[in-house]
Amino acid sequence: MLPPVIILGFLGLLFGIGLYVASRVFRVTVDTRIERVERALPGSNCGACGLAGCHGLAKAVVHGSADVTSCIPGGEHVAHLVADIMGVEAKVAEKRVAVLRCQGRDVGDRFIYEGIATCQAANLMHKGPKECIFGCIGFGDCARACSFDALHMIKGFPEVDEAKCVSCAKCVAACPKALFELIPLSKLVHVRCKSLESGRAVRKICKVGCIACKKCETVCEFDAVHVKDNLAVFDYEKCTSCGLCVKECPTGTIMSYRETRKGLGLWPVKNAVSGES
Amino acid sequence: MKTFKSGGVHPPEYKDLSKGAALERMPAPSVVVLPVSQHTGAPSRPVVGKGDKVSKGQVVAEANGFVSVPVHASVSGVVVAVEQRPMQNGAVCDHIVIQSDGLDNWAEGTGVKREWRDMGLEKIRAAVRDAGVVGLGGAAFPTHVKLSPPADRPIDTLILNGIECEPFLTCDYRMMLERARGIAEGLRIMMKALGVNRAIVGVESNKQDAFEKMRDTVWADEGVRIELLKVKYPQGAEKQLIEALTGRQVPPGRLPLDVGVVVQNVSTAYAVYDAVVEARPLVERPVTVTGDGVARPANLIVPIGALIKDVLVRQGLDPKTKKVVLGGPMMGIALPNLDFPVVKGTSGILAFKKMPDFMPGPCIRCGRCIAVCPLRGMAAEMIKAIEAGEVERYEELHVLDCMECGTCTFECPSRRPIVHYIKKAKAEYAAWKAKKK
Repeated sequence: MLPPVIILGFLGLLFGIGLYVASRVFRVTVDTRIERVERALPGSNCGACGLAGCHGLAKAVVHGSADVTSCIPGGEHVAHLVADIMGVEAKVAEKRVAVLRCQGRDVGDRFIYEGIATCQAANLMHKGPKECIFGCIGFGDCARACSFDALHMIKGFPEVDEAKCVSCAKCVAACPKALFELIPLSKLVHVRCKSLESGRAVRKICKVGCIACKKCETVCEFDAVHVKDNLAVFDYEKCTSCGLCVKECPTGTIMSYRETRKGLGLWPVKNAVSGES
Repeated sequence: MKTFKSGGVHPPEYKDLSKGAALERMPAPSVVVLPVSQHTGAPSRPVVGKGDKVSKGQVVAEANGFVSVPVHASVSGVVVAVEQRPMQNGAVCDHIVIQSDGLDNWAEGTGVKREWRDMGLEKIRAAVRDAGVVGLGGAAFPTHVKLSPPADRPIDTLILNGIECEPFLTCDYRMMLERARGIAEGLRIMMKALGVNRAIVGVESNKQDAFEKMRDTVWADEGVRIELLKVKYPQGAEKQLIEALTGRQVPPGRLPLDVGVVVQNVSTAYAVYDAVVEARPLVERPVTVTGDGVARPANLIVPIGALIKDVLVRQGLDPKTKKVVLGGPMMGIALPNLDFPVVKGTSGILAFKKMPDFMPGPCIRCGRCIAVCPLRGMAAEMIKAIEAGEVERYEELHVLDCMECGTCTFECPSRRPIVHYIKKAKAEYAAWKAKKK
C-alpha cells in the first residue's frame, strides 16, 4: 500500500516542479491589448489594411507599426474604440466611398470576345471588346472583389451601394481600367468618364462621355475643374460641390450625388462618434 | 525519323489551300503604315517627319540600342503622318504613315552586289543590323543580336528552321522551294558570322519536295546537314527543334545560346542574304494569305507596312468573313479590325467565314493537357491556381515558362481557353512582382 503512494506522490512532486520551472523559463508575455483591439475590429479579415487579417492589424497596432486608424472598413467608430484601448487620440480622416469613373453602359462592342469572362483577361485582348478602351468592360471583376456586398452588376454594369461601401479599395485594385477612385463622402460632384479620346471620337461611341468642351472649366467659380488631355479633372481640394458644372455639362458626364446620398442618409455627413453611428 | 520527345499534337494541316501557290510579289499599296516597334527590344526612333520625301529602303526610324533595329520605308513616297496608334498586341507606339508615289524608287546604295566572303565578321553583323533584319518566324528578335554570341558561351551549331509546324502556313515552304539558293547563301553567311562549321537544316516530312530542294541546293560540305523530321506540332518552336535535331535540352528560362545553338528561320536566312549580298534592307516579307474567307489563297511577298485590309482585298476577301487571325491558327491573334499593318513578324493572315462554337466547360481533370505539353507543364494545375488567383504559386508551377504554343488548348476536350488563362496569369504576375518590389 505504501510504496505506490510514495512513488505516485514523488512523481507528482517531480512533475509539479517541472511544470513550475517550465512556466518560468518558457514564459510568454502576451499583451492583452492585442486581444482587446482584435475584438474591437470588425473581424471580417478583409485585408484592406494590407496586413494578414484583423489579428495581424491588432498586433501591428499594439506594436506601434500601424496607426489606430488603419482599419478602413471600420471607419471612425472602430478607430475611436481602438484609440481608447491604446490610450491615444484618433485623428480620423473622413469616410470615403468608391466612385465609378464611367457610365457608358450603352457603349457597343468592337469585336466578339469569346475568352475568359473576366475584365482582367478581356483587357489583354486589344484592351477589351468595348468601343471605348478607357471604359467599363462589364464582366464584373469589381463586384467579385467586393467583400462587403457593396458592388453589384446591374444589367452588366457595376453599381456602388454607398451605404455599404467601406472604402477597402478592393475594387480599385480589381479594375483593369482603374475606374474606381476613393473620394470623401462630402464631395458630391464627380466626372464619370475616364476617356482621353478627343471629343469627336468620344461622341461617336458614347453618349455620356466627356467631350472636353470645357464648359465646366468656364463656369466653375472655384477653379476646381480643368480639362486635361481631353478629360475634365476635379481638384477636390477646391471643389465645393456647388453643382454649377453639373447643370452646364452637355453630356451629363458630370454628376451630382447629392440626392442619392440624401436618400441613403449619407449626406449631410454625420459624425460617427458624436452623432448617430 | 527524329522528333522531340515529350508531348505534341497533330492538328489538321490545311496547307493544301495555299501550298501550290507560287510566291507572288504584291505591288506597292497606296499607303503603308510602319510601327517603330515591330521587333523584340527597344522601339526605334523616328528620323523622318510629316512631309518628308522618302525612297524605298531609306531608314525612317533608327535603332535605339543594341537590341533594336532600324525600320526602312517599304515604298517610295511622302510621309503623311508620324502618330501614336495601337498595334495588334494593344501596345501603343509611333507609326510612320507613308503615301506611296507608285514609283517604287530604291534609295541610293541599295541593290549593289557585295561579296560576303570578303567581308569581316563585324561587317556582316553590321550589314544585318543596318538592314533591319529580325527573326521572320514570328518572334521578330533582332538577328544581329543572335549572330553576336557572348564570348563565354561558345556556339557550335547553327540550326535553320524550315519546320513551319503551324497549320495553314506555307510561305516558308514556298521560300525553300523557290529561293533555296538565297537561303543556302544566307546560311553560309550566318555560319561565318557565328564562326561555326556545323549547321543543320530541319524540315518536316510533310514537305518532302522542299527537303529535296534544300538537300540539292545547300552544298553539303563541312558538316552542313539537312534533316527530315517527323511531323509534330510544335516542332518549329526553338527549344523543341533543338531537342529534335541535337538531343540537347534547353532548361527553362535559358536560351539556346546556353546549349551552344543558334536557331534561325529559313526566311530569315534569305533576308540575311538579301541584306548582306544584295544590300537590300528588310522591306518585304513572305506572308501566307489563306483560309475560306479569301477567294485566292496565296503566298505573297508583301511590303512591310501594307494594311491587312489591302492584302485581303487583293486576294478576294469574302464579305461573310467573320474572323481574321494574324499568324498561324495555333498561336496567332484574332484581330479586332483590319486597319493593322503587316509587320516584320507577320507570317500569315487567315480569314475564316465560320466562328468556332466556343463554349468552355469545366475542367474534367482528364490530364490530356499535361500529356501533350511539349514543356512537360502541368496545365491543369496551373489553371486551378490561376482561377484561385494564387499569384505566389505561378513560379513554382512554371506558368511563366509557358511558350503559349496552344497545344493544351487544342487538345482540351472541355474547350477551355488555357492559353488565355496563362496570358492573364503572366500579366497578373508581372503586376504582382512590380508591386512587391
